[in-house]
Order: sequence, then structure tokens, then C-alpha cells
Amino acid sequence: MGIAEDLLTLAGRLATPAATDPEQAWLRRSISTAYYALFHLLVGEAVQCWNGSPASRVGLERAFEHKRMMEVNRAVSNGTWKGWGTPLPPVPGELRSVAQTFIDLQDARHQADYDNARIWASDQCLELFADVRTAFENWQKIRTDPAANEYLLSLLMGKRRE
Amino acid sequence: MPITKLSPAYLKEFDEKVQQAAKKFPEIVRVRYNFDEDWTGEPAIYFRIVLSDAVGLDEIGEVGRRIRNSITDDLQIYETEYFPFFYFRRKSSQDRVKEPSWE
Repeated sequence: MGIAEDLLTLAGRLATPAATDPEQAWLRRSISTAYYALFHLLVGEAVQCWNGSPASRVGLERAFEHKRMMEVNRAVSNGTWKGWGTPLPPVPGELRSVAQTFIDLQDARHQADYDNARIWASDQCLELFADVRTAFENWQKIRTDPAANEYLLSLLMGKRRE
Repeated sequence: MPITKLSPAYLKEFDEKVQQAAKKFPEIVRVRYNFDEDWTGEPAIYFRIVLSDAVGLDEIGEVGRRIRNSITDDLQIYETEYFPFFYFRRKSSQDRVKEPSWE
């Protein structure tokens, strides 16, 4: 398994702490880990399109920015995404769902990592984890779709130049 | 046309619409929300929705999606400049952790 799948597995375990575990710490790490599972799934898919050396792919991975990815996913989610091709290929529902999950998890991850006033509930974290698992499944359905290919480019480059 | 100012009249109307939308779902115990910015600095609405314990653990996602779609459509949130974020938990969970912003 790759790092994305490993992180997803870990997120699921962290979402179900034992009674003796420090619950809030586990749940916070679960959310953050679930986000990074999805982040690395998408980044890993994007850099596979780069026909260079393994080292260059690792370098390319570092070019992805969380904020830019958030902006693109928002656009996909609310239907304003323009993609890169003309005309834009039809956007599958699964891609919108992946985008929405990315948005939800990135926001939750930021709160989980930085807002110590928040109190997390186990069922809430399990639902976020389940959403990411579904996003993995949805991505497998559409990963060869033309819109998915343009989506990956958008995650790296941001909005299309007008 | 983006809504850039939250007038008292708009907030009152918004709240009425939220409560109306919530009534469509017997699974909803209560809805709390606030206008804020997300971590990127963009305007955001944060919804915190307490669900009935009758909602199974494996149903939260699907029920949540229906609620999210209904509220965003009914309130035409994508017509505003505020991006909606939805968080869900069941009543027994909230009763246990007692997070004030969900009460």
C-alpha cells in the first residue's frame, strides 16, 4: 500500500480510541491524518502524470499548496470550476464529491491542529473518516476521466489563465 | 450578487430560513451556526448540526449530505460570498462532550 492508503488506515484507528487513551489527542490526529490521506492520494495521482525521474516526482509533490487546492476544490464543488480544456469535460458527480470531502477535511484538519478550544466527538471523526474512505472509492471510479485529469492539473496550477 | 454586509434584517431572515430548512428533517435536534472566516481568510458560514441518536453511525454521512444540500439550496448560500461548512454529531455525543458552541 502507498502512503495515502496507510494514512487512511491509521486515521480509522485513531478515530476509535480506547477508554484509556487521551481521546481528544487521538481524534485530532485522526482528522489530520484523514486529511493528509486524501491530500497524498491526489498529489500522488497528479505527479504520476509527470514522466520524469522518481526524484523529480518527489520534488513536484512539494509544489502543491493547500490553499490553492482549497480554492480549486471550492470551485469544483460550487460549479464555477473552469478546468483547462475548452470546452470543459463534464464533471462527474464523484469528482464533486471528492472536492467536497477535500474542503471539509482541510477545514476540519486546520481546526483540529490549531484550535484547542474545539472539542471533538468520536462519531463526528468517524463520519469524516468514512467520507475520506468514500472519496478514495470515488476517485478510483473517475481517475481516468478527462475531467479528473484536468482537476489534478488545477490542483497544482490553480485557476486557468483567462 | 454577493452579500457583503450582514444587516440585522438579513440575519433575521437568514435565521428563519435556517430553522425552516431544519424542520424538513426529523433527524435534526438543533442547528447552530456562525458567520466567520475560514483559515484562508475567506468568508464562511459554519453550521453545527446535532442529530438524533436514531441516526446510525453509518448513516451520519448520508443524512448529513441530504441536510447540507437542502440548506445550501434553500438558503441559496452559493449566491452569497460565504462558503458553507457543515459539521455533524449525534445528541449523545454532544451530551457527553458538552461543547458550548453546539448547545
